Amino acid sequence: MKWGARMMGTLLLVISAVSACADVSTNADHWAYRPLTAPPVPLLSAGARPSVNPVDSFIAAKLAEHGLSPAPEADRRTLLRRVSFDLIGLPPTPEELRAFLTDTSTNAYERVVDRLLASPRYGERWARHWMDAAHFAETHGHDQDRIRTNAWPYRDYLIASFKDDKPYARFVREQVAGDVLFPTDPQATVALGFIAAGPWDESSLRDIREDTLDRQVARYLDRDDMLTTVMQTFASTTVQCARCHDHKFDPVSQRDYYALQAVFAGVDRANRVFDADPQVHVRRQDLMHERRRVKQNDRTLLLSAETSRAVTDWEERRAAHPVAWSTVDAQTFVSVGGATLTKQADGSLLASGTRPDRDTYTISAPSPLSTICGIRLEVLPDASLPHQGPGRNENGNFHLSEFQLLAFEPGAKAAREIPLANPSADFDQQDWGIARALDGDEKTAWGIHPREGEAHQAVFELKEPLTLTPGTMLVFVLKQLHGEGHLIGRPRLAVTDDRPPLRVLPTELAAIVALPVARRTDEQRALLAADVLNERIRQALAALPSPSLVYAAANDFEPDASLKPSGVPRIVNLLKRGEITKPMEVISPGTLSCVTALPARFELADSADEGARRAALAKWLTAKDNPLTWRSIVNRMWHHHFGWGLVDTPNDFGRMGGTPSHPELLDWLAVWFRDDAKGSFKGFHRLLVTSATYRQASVISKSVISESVKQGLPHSKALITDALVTVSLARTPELDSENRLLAHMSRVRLDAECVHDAVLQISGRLDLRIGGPSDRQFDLQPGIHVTPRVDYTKFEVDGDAGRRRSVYRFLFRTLPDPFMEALDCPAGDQLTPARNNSVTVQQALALWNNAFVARNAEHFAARLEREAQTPEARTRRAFELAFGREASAEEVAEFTGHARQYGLANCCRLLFNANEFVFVN
Amino acid sequence: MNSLNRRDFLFRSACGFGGVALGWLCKEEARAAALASPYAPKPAMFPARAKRVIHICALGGVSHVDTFDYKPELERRHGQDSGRKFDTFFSQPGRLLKSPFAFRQYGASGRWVSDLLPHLAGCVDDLTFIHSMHSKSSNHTPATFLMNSGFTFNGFPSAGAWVSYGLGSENQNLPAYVVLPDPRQLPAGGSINWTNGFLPAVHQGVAFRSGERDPIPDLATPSDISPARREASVRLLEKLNAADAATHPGDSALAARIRAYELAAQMQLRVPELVELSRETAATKSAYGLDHPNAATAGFARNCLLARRLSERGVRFVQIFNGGQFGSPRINWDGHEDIVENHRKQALTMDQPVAALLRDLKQRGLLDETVVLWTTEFGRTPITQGIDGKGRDHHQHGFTIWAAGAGLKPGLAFGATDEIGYDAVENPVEFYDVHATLLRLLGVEHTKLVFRHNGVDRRLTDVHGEVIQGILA
Repeated sequence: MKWGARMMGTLLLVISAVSACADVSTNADHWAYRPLTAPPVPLLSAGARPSVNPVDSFIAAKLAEHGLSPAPEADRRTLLRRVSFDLIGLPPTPEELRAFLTDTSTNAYERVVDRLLASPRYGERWARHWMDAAHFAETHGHDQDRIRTNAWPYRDYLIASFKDDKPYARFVREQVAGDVLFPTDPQATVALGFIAAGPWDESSLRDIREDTLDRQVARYLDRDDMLTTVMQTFASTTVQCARCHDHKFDPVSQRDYYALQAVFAGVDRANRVFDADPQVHVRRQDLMHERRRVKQNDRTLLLSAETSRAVTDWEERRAAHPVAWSTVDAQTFVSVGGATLTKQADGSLLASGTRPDRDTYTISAPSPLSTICGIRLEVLPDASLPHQGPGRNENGNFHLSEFQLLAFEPGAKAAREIPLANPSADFDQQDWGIARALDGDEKTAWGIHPREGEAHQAVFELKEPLTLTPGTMLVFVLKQLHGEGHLIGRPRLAVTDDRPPLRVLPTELAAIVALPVARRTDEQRALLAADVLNERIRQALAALPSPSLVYAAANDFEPDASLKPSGVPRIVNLLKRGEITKPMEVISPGTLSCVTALPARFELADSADEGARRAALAKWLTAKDNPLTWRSIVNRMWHHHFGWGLVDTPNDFGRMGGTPSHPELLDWLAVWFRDDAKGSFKGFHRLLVTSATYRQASVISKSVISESVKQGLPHSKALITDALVTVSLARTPELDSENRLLAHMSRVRLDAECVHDAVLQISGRLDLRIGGPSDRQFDLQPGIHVTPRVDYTKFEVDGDAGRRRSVYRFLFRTLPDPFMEALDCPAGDQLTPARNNSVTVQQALALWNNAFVARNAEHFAARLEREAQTPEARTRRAFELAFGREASAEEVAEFTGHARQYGLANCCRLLFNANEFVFVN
Repeated sequence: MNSLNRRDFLFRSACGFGGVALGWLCKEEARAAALASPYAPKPAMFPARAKRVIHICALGGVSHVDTFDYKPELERRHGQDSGRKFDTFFSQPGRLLKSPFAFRQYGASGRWVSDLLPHLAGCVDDLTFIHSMHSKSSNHTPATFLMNSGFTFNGFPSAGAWVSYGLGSENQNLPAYVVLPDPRQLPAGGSINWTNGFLPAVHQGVAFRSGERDPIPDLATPSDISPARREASVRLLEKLNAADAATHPGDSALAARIRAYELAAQMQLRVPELVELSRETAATKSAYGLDHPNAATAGFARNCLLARRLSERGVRFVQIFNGGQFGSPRINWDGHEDIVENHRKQALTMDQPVAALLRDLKQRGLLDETVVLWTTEFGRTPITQGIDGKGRDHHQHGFTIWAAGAGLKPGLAFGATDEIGYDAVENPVEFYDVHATLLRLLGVEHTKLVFRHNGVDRRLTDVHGEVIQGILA
């Protein structure tokens, strides 16, 4: 089919879009949805070269159909450079090259392949391909391009997964629902970084009012990115086209689309807790799960016999060991604001006189006990206070901004602060809880409105029991900085040496405890049980080592402004024409209907269990009978090895996507990868890179030229008459412009990471440290709003942060490194299954003048001076390192002369700019 | 052969020198063009009315009711409840606020302009106003992305990149798409605003760093490399590359890369000459306001003058930003707190330079072949932000933009908002329509300028867009 005809077809399809709309019965016959069966490996006709690798049989059969034959095998230098960049993203060292050239064993090449696949560098190289597919970056993007400090563990997860050759089905399942399907493996939770890898609209999802349409729209769009990422990456389906209407070309209905929205309706992008130690991980996840059940008022838990026993135990313990408080006898008590504090008979201090806006009370007392474990602050009513207090504000309220305890030991020069923890109070004003008096933030405070006119109390535990040397003074500091006279009217302090927990019970629970068990309603039993369980969970969590965080899909995370976990999954409606103002029926979770071998709607026992939704999708994706998944991945891998896929649209197997150049090979590979290789990437790489097809030379084979001549095609004449004319290979198109038939290997430009890492390796500067937080290769300054100012020109190229492989660079979504960008490194705002491979002026300028190249050229020169003695030897060594070949006599003379006149570093810079360096044959 | 898909073979084989998705472009022409230069001019579909674009982006949300959209009814109902529901962005809705600026009619066309913009008021007979704009978002950055790329998300190619991709450039020694950010700061999202998105990288907007002799990163040869050394290196590199190319006859990527180095060398010469303003007359510089005591005005004036010089040299798309990042202190038109204080300050930076640019283009005969497009991402509410507030909040339902130059009806007021400036009620226009019209003026049918990405035929106008016939001459 000619290109023009295809364009015309495209236009016709667009025009007749409405009538073409999703007739599932006919569309389901499209190649991508057909069940997978392995076609027979073609038997080659007599005379064809014998092949042992089935890949070669399929390729050779197709070439023969077109009267073509394959190119000869590339020479060993070319082959080693090609396979090294391909598998590990680095050039071979001269030593590796020498070893390969002198290896006379029949399996010398296979041994090289095994060495490369076993290298830790392999994981780094292939993880980066996956980061492109996932549009991974370490900032939010959009207008508030905030840094995600905890995104990098997902990158390390990818590197480890490739290195360890994780079977593909497991790899997919972990990234969609690892937390649910592999709860005992902490790394399976880190894998959820995949779903969160893309951009996030902070201003719309965190800052603006929650009741705006913009917020609602943003939620749908956020899930749209999640499901698009999952379905394009794993199933090569452009499901996102069905947001506003049924897909115009593929059998994807709007219902399918919103069913996928529902799969992700319970997750947000946030910092998710995990533990490197699997035992701790499981323990913490169980506790967090229980905490969620409590929060959701799960009566089967709260009213279970086991919980009832726990409540009874707790009540018995509590009754048997009431906390014994000893009131402190204040010796000095000062109001900074000038109020009068008067000691009362009960040990309390009554404020009177001046009522400042803000105040701080400093109260000193000897300890009545030799050891203290907790403090109680009572705030008491008094007839002299407005509304009987306990505060001095007109309404009787107060705000305690911060509470501190200090110990002044005899002979000490200053008081030392004693850390406090686990604050509790009998009553918390809404949004003014007791924790706010201990959060180190003087703008937040504890209050008791509307429960004025009665006594209240707060209890603080000491982080560690404090044993006091005789004569030590306790100093209590009560900061009350809210303003408008929100001051405590009558405080009283007490201490205890009882061990924690010392928590004071909220009044409404104390009232329940006071009732005989038989008279408690279910509501009351549940309330009390929730409190007992929460306290038990809190203590258990506090006893665990501190957790790690990964930026990932999450349903249980610390709220951040108005970004809060959804609890149960949010409701998803089908939106008419995709408009938020036109919600139609509620849609339940499911997936594509066009894979007829598998049910498209999920039968889930508990619709509130969001994890079950993702687990169902993960299982659907990895089912043996899902032809999309297995075709998708082998095509994606093929793309990276050969320059483009057997289907040239790795993310779109629909009717508007590419057509397979070798449909039988695609299916054979999919079945082989699934069944024979058991999803092993390394096995798959080995199959492809050891094929004769992969090992061909990149020059155009004679058969292409002669066949073109035979067919009277114009390009070949040009090639033959003037081989140096800059005629495009595109002039061969009448035959095979894209080299889709693979009559030779394609010559490709190195990608941004390969250029970057090769420059470092050749300069002798590459630091091979693996993993950890990303290297920030820029100067970072605060911006006017959220997005910082980032200046790549101010980065010190020679510093340690500039020496690791580029997979460890910090990836700023809206402020990418211009050097890498010039080499087509994607910024993470779009899914990038296939990079552009452009040649631009900006690229030339970057390689010529950028400080990274200039400085490393100097390091390269210094290395040459260390490693070779004569100017000629240095030139030879330079060619060996940069190009993997010997310099010709003429080149030695020319470059040595150039170095003599203009400096060796200048020669090195030139080599980094040479086509021979930047391209792989 | 039938199974092969060569829809965009050229894009690949010529390494991103686009043109292939232009349905009307003959293959041979495209090939020739790709080999000549990445910015090689490409033929238009229709006779083009305009050759070039200068796009002025006033960021932050310029209040239509305080600049070009005169509303006497607001004066009558000043201080009253609007009677309308406002989905305000940050605040509680306040009451109707008459414009604190005095409006008058100007020119033969009698267009209304407030006293905020006295210089532009003198140009109204050359301007074509669209008073009935509507945006999909009232949030700055999504709305700005929509204005520039047709999508509220980041990462889609901006209009300038599409035009570069579709039409190339008349000048092969300069980029086809040049961006002149506000001298105070880059807009929110930085270079994403002029991204090539999924289009070949060569079509990305090249942002000139304000006021520097080397406005393009990595343009200058490092200072420790002498001209002789540089020259010798270039020659040696050419030789090395030629030898390499000989081993791969016919590989266009190798040739293109050699060409890119030649272009880079040209750019190294041409750009410093371009930004060197010493040969402009004192009268010209003063007319633009390069000598203005306000630094922001003088810097913006310099960009306007640079825009003329770029257009003069055939650069296809020049984009000038008036306004930087959002947030405080305000360096854009985002007048939440006090519309008088904010808009006076911003108008001072923009009014004189833009008016001077229009006059200068006209006087040199360039306005006949250039479209000057002035846009803002949305307007501002006819009510105050909060009761008794002095500012106005974001408003997406009706606002004003204008264009001037080739192919347009001058002095026209197209479309209208209702009596208080709330809704676009007459001939509502979306940015898709503006983009479709802009492409039409350049001789391109917007539905046919496509690029296939991740299985979708992408367009500047997404699946929307109608050419605004009513403003075309």
